[in-house]
Amino acid sequence: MAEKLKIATCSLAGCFGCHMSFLDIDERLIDLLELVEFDRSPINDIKHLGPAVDLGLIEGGVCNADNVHVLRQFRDRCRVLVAVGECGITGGVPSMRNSFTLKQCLEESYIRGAGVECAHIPDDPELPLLLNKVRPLHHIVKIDYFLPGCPPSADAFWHFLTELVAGRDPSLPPALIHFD
Amino acid sequence: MFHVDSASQEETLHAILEKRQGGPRDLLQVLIEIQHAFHHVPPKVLSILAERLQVPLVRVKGVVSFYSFLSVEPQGEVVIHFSDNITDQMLGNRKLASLLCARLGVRLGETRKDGRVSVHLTSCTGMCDQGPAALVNYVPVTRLDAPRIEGMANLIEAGVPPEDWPKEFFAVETPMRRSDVMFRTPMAPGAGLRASLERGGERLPAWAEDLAPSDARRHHLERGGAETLKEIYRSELRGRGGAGFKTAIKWESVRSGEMGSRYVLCNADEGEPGTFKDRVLLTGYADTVFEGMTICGHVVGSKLGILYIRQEYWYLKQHLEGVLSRRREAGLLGDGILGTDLDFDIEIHWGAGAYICGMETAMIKSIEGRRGIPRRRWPLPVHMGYMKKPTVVNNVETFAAAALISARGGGWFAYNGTAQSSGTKLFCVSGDCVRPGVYEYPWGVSLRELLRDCGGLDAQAAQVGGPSGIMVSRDEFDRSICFEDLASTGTLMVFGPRRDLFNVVKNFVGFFQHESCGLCTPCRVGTTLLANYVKKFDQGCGSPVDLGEIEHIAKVMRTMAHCGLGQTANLHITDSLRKFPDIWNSRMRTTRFIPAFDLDGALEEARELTGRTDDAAHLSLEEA
Repeated sequence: MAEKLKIATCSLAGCFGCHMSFLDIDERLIDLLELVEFDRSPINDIKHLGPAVDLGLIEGGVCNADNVHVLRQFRDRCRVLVAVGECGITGGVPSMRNSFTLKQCLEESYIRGAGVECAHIPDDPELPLLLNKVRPLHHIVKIDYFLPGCPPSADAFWHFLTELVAGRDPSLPPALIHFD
Repeated sequence: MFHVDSASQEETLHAILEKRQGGPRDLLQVLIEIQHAFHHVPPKVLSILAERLQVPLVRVKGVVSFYSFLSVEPQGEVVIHFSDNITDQMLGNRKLASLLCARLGVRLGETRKDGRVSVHLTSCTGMCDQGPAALVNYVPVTRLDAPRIEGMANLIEAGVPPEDWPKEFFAVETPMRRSDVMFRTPMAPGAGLRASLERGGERLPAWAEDLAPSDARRHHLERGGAETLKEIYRSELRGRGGAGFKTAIKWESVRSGEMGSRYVLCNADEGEPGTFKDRVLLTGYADTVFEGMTICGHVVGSKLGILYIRQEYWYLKQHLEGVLSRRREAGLLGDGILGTDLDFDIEIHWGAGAYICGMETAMIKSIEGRRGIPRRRWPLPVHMGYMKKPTVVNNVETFAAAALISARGGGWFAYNGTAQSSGTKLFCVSGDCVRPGVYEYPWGVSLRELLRDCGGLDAQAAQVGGPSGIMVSRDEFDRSICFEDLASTGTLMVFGPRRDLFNVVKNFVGFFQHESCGLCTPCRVGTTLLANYVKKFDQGCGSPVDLGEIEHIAKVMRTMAHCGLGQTANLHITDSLRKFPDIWNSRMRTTRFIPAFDLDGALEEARELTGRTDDAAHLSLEEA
C-alpha cells in the first residue's frame, strides 16, 4: 500500500467538542490508523505542524491573532483544508459576541464583572490580541470542505474521512446532516 | 409630528376607511392612503386597522414592513425617492441626490429633524428614457439636473407643497419612437369589444349540454366569446410579461374552469428596471388596455377585472380613473355592456414599491391585501388565483394586443413576427443611445437594427430583458429578439464604449439583494452573498477562489430558488463572468485568496484597549 496520508487537526475558537465527537468513532480509530497517520493534533499532543500534510481538520472559528497564524500555517502546509463544525463554518457560539463591541466584552469580563479584583484589561504581550469580530474560517483562508454539525457525529467524521481518503466525493448522505 | 389624537386626523382616517367595504383585502389600499395622508403609518393606526378590517395585528405589521413605500417611521411632508436604476446612475443621480441632501441638510435615507423632508433611493421608477428621475410624494420628476435640484430645494425650504410646484418639473414624455402595425393607427374605443360581441359564440359543446340552465358555464358559453377565443388562438399571441405563455390557452383554461366567479387581472407592476412600456401604454392607449381586459372578461365569463399598477405611476391615477368612467358612460364597462347582457367592470389596485409583486402569484397576494410573497405555481392561477377562483393574469401589453386582435383579426396579428413569436412587440430602450424611448418592432428584429435605430450602435454591451435578462456583448448584436433566441420582456439598456460594466453588475446585484422577498434561502442568502462577493472584488480583494464560489452560489440559486426572481437574479453575474471576464480579472490583485476585510484593522480596537504596539499586535496581509 502507498504511503499513509498525513492528517493534522486543531481547535481554534472552539470547545473541543468536535474533537470529542471525532474520538467517538471508537474502535474504528484503529481502522483509520491503517489508512492515515496523525501529524499535529491534540489527540497525540504533537504541537508543531509538519511541513507537508495531506489533510487538515480545523475546529472552531477565528477570534484572535494567534488563530490567524495557526490557520494560515495550516492553509500553507495542508493540501486539503476542512472546516469542521458550526464554529468553524459560521463562527458559532463564540461569534455571539459580534453583536457587542470588543470594549463592551472586555469591560464586562475584566472591569465590571462580578468578583473582579485589580480590574484591568489584560495587556501582556504573551497574549494574542482579539479580533474585533469572531470570523468563520473561510473569511480568512480558502477552505476546501465544510463538515457541518455541532458537533458533526462520529459517523459523519467516519464517512467523510473514509470517502475522502478513498479519493471519492465526501458529500454526506442526508441521514448524517439531518439534525432534528 | 403626527398623533392620532387630533380630531382632524381621526376624521381623515375615518374617511379613508369609510370608502372601503372593510374586508381584509382592502388592507394594502387603505395603508397606501394612510401613508399618503399622514406621511407614515402611525403605530396607533395599525391596531385600529386590525380591528376594522378584521385581520390580525401581526399581518398588518407584516404588510407595512414588506412594502418599500410604507413606513412606521414618520417621513417628511415632502418625500423624495431618487430612482437608482443603472440608467439613472449613468446620468449622475447619486451626485444629484447628494447635492439635494447637502442643500437641505438631511442625510440620504433619513428624515430632516423638522419633519419637512425625507430623501431616499428607490429601485427603477420607470422613467429611464428621461432620467435621472425621482418621485416627489410619489409623483415623478424627470430630467433632473443641478438647477432643477436647486429649484426643488428652494421650494421645499419655502414650504411650497409639491402640488404647487412648476408643472414642467412633472412633465413626463411618452415617446413612441417607432410604431408598427399595432400602434400605428389607433383603435376607436369599443371597436374590439363590438367585434367580439358580434362575432358570437358556438353551439354548446357536447360536454356542456347536460349543464343546468343556471350554470355559469352554460351562461357564458351561450353568450359567446368562443369566436374571439379562436381569433386569439389564430393570432398565436404569447404573453408579453416575459414568460411568453400562449394567451389563448390561458384564457381557455379559465373559460372552461370551475363555475362561479372568475377574475381578470392586468399586471402593470412593471418593476423590471429599464422597463416603461406599460407606462406609455397606460398613458396613450389606456382604452385599448381596458378593452382587452373587457374582451377577456367576455371570453372567460368574468365580471371583474383588476388593474394592479405600481405606485411609481400614481400620477396616472386621475387619468386612468377618467378613462374608466368615460368607458362606463359610453356603455363599454359596467352592467349590460353595449346593450348585451355582458357585465364587466374594472378596479384599480395600487402596489407599494415591491418588484416581486410583478410575479403573478405575489401580485395576487398583494391584491388580496397581503405581503407579496410568491407561492408555488400549482395550482396555477388559471385554476385557483385571486380569491381562490380561476383567474387570468396578463401583462398590460398582452391585453392591448388582445383588443387589437379582436378588432382586426388573429391573422392580421400573426402575419408579423417569427414562427414561435407572432406579432409585434414594444421595446423600451434606455441608456447610452441618442433616442431612448418605446419602439414597436415585429418579433425577430435583430439587436443591431434596434441599436441602429435608437442611435446606440457603438455600445460595448446591452442588457436585454432587464437585470433578470441577458447581458449581451458586441459579437452577439446580430442575434434576434424573439422567444426562439433572445427572449425579452421588451427591455433594452444600452452601455456605451466607455462605461465600466462592473458598475452595471454592482447596480443589479444590489437591486436583487433589496428586492428578494426573503421567503426562500437560496434567494435571500444567495443575493446577499453575491452582493458581498461583488463588493469584495470592488475593493480589490477578489481572487480566482472567489470566482469559483460565485459560480457555485449562482448555480444553487438557479436550480433551487422558489421563484423566477432568485432563479434569474444571478444571470447578470454569470453572463458578465463569461462575456466580460476583464471587468472581474482587472480587479484581482492576487491569485491567492485574501480576506474581504482588513485583518490588521480588525486588531485596532484591541490595540487601543491594551495600548500594545509590539509586532505581535499586528497582522500582515501575507505571511508564510
